Amino acid sequence: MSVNERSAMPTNLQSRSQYLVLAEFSRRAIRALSNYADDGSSELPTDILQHTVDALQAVQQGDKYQFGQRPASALGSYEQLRTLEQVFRRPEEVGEAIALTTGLLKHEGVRDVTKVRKVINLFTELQAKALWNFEQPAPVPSPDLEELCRAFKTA
Amino acid sequence: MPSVQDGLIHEATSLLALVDAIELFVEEHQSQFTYNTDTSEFFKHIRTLAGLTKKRLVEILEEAGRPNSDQVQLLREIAEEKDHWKVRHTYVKPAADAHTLNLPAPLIKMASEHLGRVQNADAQVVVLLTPETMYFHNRARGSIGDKRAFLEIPYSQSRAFFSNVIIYHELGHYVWASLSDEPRSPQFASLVDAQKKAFDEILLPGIQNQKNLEFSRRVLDNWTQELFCDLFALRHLGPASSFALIDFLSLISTANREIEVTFDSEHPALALRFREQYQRLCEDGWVEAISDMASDHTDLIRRLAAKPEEEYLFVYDDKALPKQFIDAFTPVIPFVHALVAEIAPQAERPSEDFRRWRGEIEDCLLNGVVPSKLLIQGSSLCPTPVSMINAAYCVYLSRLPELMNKLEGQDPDNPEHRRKWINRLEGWTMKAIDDYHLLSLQGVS
Repeated sequence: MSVNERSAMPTNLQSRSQYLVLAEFSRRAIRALSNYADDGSSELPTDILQHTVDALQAVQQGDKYQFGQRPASALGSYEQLRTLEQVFRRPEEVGEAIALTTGLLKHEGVRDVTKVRKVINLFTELQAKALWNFEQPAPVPSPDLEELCRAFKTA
Repeated sequence: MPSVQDGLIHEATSLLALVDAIELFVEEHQSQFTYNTDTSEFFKHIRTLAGLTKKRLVEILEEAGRPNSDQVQLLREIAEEKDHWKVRHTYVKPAADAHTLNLPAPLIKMASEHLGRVQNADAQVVVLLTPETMYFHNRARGSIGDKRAFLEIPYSQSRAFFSNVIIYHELGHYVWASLSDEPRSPQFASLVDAQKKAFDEILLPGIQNQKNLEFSRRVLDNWTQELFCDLFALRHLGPASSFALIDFLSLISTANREIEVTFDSEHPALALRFREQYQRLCEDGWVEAISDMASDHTDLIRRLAAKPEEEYLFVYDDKALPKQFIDAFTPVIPFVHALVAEIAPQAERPSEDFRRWRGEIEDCLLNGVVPSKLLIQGSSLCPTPVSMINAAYCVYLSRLPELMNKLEGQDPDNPEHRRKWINRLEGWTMKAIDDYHLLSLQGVS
């Protein structure tokens, strides 16, 4: 049978564990970026940053739930994209996060510690929210049935 | 006022206590019970993780003592690790309950082998016995490992055989979740394209907001996935999987005209599900092989399959939703069939072995003989487990009185008597599957 958020444990852990994957991803990002900022020999974690930009763009385009979604990849699942959306609530916040992260990627050779610290702060917020969501997962939003029926003229 | 370092030590101690308790629990159960290979591997994995966590805790406390260490970040790492252990904690107990005395072990072993063939060879099936009266699958990424398919079985059904045939449907959910990983199968990619195309053309023009967009995509995806799971189970086990679904949902007694044609947000209507199952049974040669079987189950499948599409309804929250949802699902269905055929190819039709040996297997069972080997014209041969399961199900559904009437004092209309002989039938079937595995290892089958 399919998995329902309200089902008893351990069934509902399947979606909740997605938040832990996101927390772990954020922790790796913070560590790698901190090393990059503090230690002149570490490299910029470009893979992590690129994943983040892709996910933020999906949130920006309103594509949190897609067919053939890839829950195995970091920031690929509905729960993870929804957490991003919760952290960056306003469209301009998503835009700023994309600009900041893309900026680091574009100027990979320039070690701008101030910008790196700002991106670390983004991941710190994301990590905290992911850990919170693991404890208190928000229910999936209910559809607007009236509007759905009206739009298809069957109401 | 306590420092962050004090908090770190407190949290580290608390985590250590949790990990030690889980490790001890696993150790005690492994010393008392026998587990199948996949569950033993799972417990081994848990014990390895316990060692790694303890090692990391020591490192974290050392790191915290260094000047300029980010203690808040280390505290968060402990919180994250603790959450992982909360997940593991939840899985370990129901897995510990599923020792080999509490399981239809030959069926689980067979399912594990089938999974290895359609996925990668190291995929594992770990059974969890739960208080739910429903079967579920799950896959907790990150904490436990992606290669494990966890099957949740109601504890009351743990020793049964026929009802647990439904685990193949649950296994389908695990396979479906893995299909979205890279590299993708060509048929899965085609299916996703078909979903997108149907959705964009039929539903998207009527969707006005984000909530409805997500809901509509999710519904279409849920229906596709459920149908995939039905056909996946059927492709591997033949009609036994349809019979098990009918029994599990008590459809013989509860199905009514409205329920039969109603889609909900998670499942297509039974009429559509059995229509597609019937088509798969036809294509895979099973319908012909069971055409003479007289039972309510086969009648129900045929009746549901014949329901006209015009009667289908989609109801959510007691409200009839637009039929366009069903219209958008219809073009995806052939792609589900193609995907199942791609991931579970059949060099030889299982229905052919069944058709050839069904009579002999049923004769064995009707005489209380385990049908591991059939004596045909002086030589012996081994029917496949799929043939044995289906023949046993045929006896269960249509010939049980024949078996019982051979025995003095056994009344087929007495539920107590009947249950006893169903248990025996299940036992003979499991023994036959077990023998098949042993004979396979010896290169006999």
